Amino acid sequence: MRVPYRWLKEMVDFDWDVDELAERLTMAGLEVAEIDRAIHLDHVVVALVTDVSPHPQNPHLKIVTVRGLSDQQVVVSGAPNVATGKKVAYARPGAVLPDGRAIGVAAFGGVASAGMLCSAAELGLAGRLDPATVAPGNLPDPAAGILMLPDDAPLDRPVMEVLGFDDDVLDLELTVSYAQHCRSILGVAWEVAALTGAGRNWPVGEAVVADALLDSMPGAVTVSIEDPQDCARYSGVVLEDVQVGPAPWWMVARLRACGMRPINNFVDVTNYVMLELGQPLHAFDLDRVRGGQIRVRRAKPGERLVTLDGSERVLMPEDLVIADAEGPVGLAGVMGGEASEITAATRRVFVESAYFRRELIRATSRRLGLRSEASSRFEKGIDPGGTWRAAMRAGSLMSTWGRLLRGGIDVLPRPEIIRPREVVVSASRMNARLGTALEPQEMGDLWRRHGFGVEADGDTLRVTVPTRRPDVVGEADLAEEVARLFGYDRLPATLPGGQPTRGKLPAEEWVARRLRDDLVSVGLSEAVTYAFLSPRDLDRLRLGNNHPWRQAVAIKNPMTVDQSFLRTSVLPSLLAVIGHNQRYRQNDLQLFEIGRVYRSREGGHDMMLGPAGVVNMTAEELLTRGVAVEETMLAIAGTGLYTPRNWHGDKRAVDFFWLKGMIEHIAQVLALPALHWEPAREPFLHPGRAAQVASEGLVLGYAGEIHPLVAEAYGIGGRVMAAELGLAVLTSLAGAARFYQPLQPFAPVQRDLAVILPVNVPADAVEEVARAAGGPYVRGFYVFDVYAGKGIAPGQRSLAFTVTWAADGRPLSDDEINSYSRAIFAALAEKFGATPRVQPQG
Amino acid sequence: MESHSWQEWEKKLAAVTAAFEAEIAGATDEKAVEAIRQRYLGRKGGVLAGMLRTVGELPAAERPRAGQLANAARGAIEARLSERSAQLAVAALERRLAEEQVDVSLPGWPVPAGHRHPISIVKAEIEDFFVSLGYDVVSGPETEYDYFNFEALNIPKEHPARDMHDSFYLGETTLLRTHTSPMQIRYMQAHAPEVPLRVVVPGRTYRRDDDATHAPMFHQVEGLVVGEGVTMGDLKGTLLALARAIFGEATAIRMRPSYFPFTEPSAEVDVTCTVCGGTGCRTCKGTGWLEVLGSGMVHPQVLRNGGYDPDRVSGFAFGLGIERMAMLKYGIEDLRHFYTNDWRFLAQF
Repeated sequence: MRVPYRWLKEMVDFDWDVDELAERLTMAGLEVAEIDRAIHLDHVVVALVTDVSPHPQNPHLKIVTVRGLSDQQVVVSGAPNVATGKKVAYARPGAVLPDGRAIGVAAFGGVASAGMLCSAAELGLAGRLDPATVAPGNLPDPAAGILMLPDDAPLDRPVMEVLGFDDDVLDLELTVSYAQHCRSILGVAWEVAALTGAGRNWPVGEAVVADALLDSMPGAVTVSIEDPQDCARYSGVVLEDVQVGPAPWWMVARLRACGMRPINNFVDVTNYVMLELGQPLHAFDLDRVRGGQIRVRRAKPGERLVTLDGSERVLMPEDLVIADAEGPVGLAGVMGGEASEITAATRRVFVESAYFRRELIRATSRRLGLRSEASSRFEKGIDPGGTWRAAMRAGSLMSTWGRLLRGGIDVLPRPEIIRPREVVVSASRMNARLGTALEPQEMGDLWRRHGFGVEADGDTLRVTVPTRRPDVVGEADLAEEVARLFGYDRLPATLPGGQPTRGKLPAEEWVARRLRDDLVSVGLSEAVTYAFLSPRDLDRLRLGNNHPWRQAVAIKNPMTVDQSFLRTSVLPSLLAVIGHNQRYRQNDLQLFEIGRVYRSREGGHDMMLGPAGVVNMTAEELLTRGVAVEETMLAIAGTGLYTPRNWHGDKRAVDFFWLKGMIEHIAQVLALPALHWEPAREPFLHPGRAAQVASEGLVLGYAGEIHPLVAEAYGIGGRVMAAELGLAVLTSLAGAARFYQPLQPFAPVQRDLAVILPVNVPADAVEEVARAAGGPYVRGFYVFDVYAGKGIAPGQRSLAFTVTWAADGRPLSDDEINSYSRAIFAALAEKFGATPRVQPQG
Repeated sequence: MESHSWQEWEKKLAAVTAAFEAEIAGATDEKAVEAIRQRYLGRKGGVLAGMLRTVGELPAAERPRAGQLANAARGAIEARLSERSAQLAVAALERRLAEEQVDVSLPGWPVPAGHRHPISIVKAEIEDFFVSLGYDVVSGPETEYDYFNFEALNIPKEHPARDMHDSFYLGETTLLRTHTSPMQIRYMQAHAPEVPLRVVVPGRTYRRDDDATHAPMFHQVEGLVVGEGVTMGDLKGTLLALARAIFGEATAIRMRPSYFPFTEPSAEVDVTCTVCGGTGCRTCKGTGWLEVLGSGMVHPQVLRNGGYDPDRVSGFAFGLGIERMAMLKYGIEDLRHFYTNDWRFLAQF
């Protein structure tokens, strides 16, 4: 909201300059986002054109005579729109224009020109001022012609004052609660008065004394309210024999400073009073209100109304309308109807000043996309006690151009809303909440500065809150008022006392942290991606119709199609990251993300609400159960080189066994039980390079090479390895293999063995047989060489492995080891037809 | 047997010693030293052994002296041999080391080093700070019910505060959480009437917004303390300590009155500008302060909704944006960098 400094100062007698005012208001919760500084242009004043005659030599120039209060000057001007009887912007000799031009007396074609007539652009106002809103005869282009000023602009007044640019304007960014009582000069004035203790000089309506507050003014208007919940108060005044024309220059200047356009004197007064007092008003052409009937009611389904902006609106029963005897004439609080707007032909005016239910105004203005200064005030909440005063204030300002009827309308079906609220609080509890040590008396004084009534009885304070503060409802709100005026900066800085509590991270987060540190230390980098999924991802991943990743939760109002589901896998996010980086020739990339995936919950996701809003969830569910099933995954994706080209030796590109090595590394770091790797089929993985990873009968996830068609669909060149493991399973298994074994005094014995066997015998089957056959002391089995090709028959391969033995408490003899080795060879020969590549010793 | 004179023998021994010295001085490797050893000290055919054999030819009176001289010469030769061996070993080692010189300016072995994402760095810093103060850390669900996200936090339908929370809806009454605040209600309901509660909730949140300063998904940390006698001063002290932990010991905070439907009194919290240190610059628009979080005393109705009696307990709550913190801490100008994961961005952390 824009607050002109001088307008505010008219209402409160404070001493702060504009910068201090801005700082103090910000610290009181009224954030000043910006100060629009005043423009002062000395010697550029209002003058009256008294004569225009042609230039003797130059047909494009005119000799213009202008008059100030006490002098007359001759100026040569080329402006096409200069005319006798008009007020213009006149730069006297001695003026310096914003572009630096110094104005003096100059001769044009032998005629001396004292000063210059200026266009809006020459005054530096291009982009800030629409000249057409200043006076008739101006064009919208600020550079076209000289700027003509309102007819009532006083001679010799600075032009910037007449236009409303000579005042500093504070631009307030109001929060929802301050928007209720600070969306007006008066509201801000109350704050300044409370902060400074300075004297108040509130504007009041004059000249009108209501005889009786009734729902009808015979012969003029009758008001009825269908539902008091929708409209708790409706006030208004009537003017007859009105003259519609421009508003006075000073009022237009203030409207302009506040960012509003002038329309005509009656509409401008409604806006002026709204800015001044915070009460939105609407002026109807009363002769266009059929039957003189004002009915505040809900719209009937399908009813239509052409609003002031010329659009036809189709209404719904959710909309509150102002109707006359025949149909809607306005959307209550949002926008008036075109048919009843004030025009030059208007003879009778009805000014409405009402208190509508804010939820209705908000819903209608949002549905129709109509946001106005009025609707935004209504929807945030206004002062129900202020409607009559605002109507009177408007009527009094309008009475210059018409006859204000005695009496007025004030329908108040719910008188309770204008009763001040009474809140009883305890001063000691107030101090306990804030951490302050204020006496009840001091506290009371702070509230009184806001105009609240306070009665103190020992520790108990009875506070009467005026209706203009709908935000102050209970003790907590009063506490905020105390803290605000006392100063947040003066509150002590302490830490919560009381019993100690144990700080702890969730178990999954411990594992996640271990994984992050560890994966980073072996060269992977962490990504954070959006948790959305595109329907296109499902196809890019070649997922069949029944693939579980298709069980995605849909977003009803996504911003883009590509973000219209919640992801069921982190994989597409990481593939997109690889695709992005490849476009910047960043091809060597090993990434991981620890992030959530989401799955539709079976049986829908109805809120488990019991009676009286009590939630029917266990404590565990309260902490974890969402609408969807949410699961955190560790996802890894790698492509390109993981050991770059280097002068020491070979570069290394990622492959399946890089990925497997990473997962085995994780298993060691987390002390997982043994992992089991089974060939797996996933539509998005290479059919020969895909595995399911399990441990202790629990599936951890998948690991494999991305199918080349999938990589292509993501615009990725080269091979990509990817795995996704469930963090919950990893957490449940973490640490299972971590236990202590006493150290043995004897070194373990190792033997390297090699066998030739069919290629389709997996290494883990060889291990299983070798461990079983190698006697009771086998401690380790590790394949260190795999060979097929020259010297090995087709369909066969050589597998060389190291077996480690260690007995408890005694050394193992060569004889024992030799016999175990022979047993391993024999078992492999029997099971797989394996032959020793190197003859066993002994 | 011919008898030799003592003089002759002694001269001969001196000649042997001299010849040895010449040879050993010329030996350049261990093999040569060994050959010389054999030649002079060998049991069979060694020069010195030959000399000893001729001792018997000397007059009896001279023999003991000759024996002593021969032994002394042997000792000297042995010592000289070891000395020469050691010299040669040192020289050989030095030669080898000289040959092994490397160009220390060449690049080292490429040991891989990955990078943490700045969001997770800052998130962990905040978590660690609060764990050290005894706070429980929970994350809560992201797919949320209107009740927890809005209703129970004093944001009924058509409340203007909903304007600031443009939501992604999943169903009529279900949505992606727009803030981490719903965990205030969930955590209170799960623990009521237990006190004190101290919890922080880091997690993902969602709003329909996408530009340089808004993302449809972002990260927040919610904090909640409920107990007997919890004051607004406690809130201030806690946030001051947090600001110093994240932005450095010299950081000050400033609280300004603000509005959140679920806290009252509410405060916006600014920290000393991380760029200029408070003197005023472009980043802080000349104010010396940067807005970092919202906070306040838990609204009595919210306490009630959580299952607590506001006449007996009080509490404070705060919420901060992790991205905002990370942007200030590292000087990141565009929020979208966090989610694009460009390598040039990731590799800086």
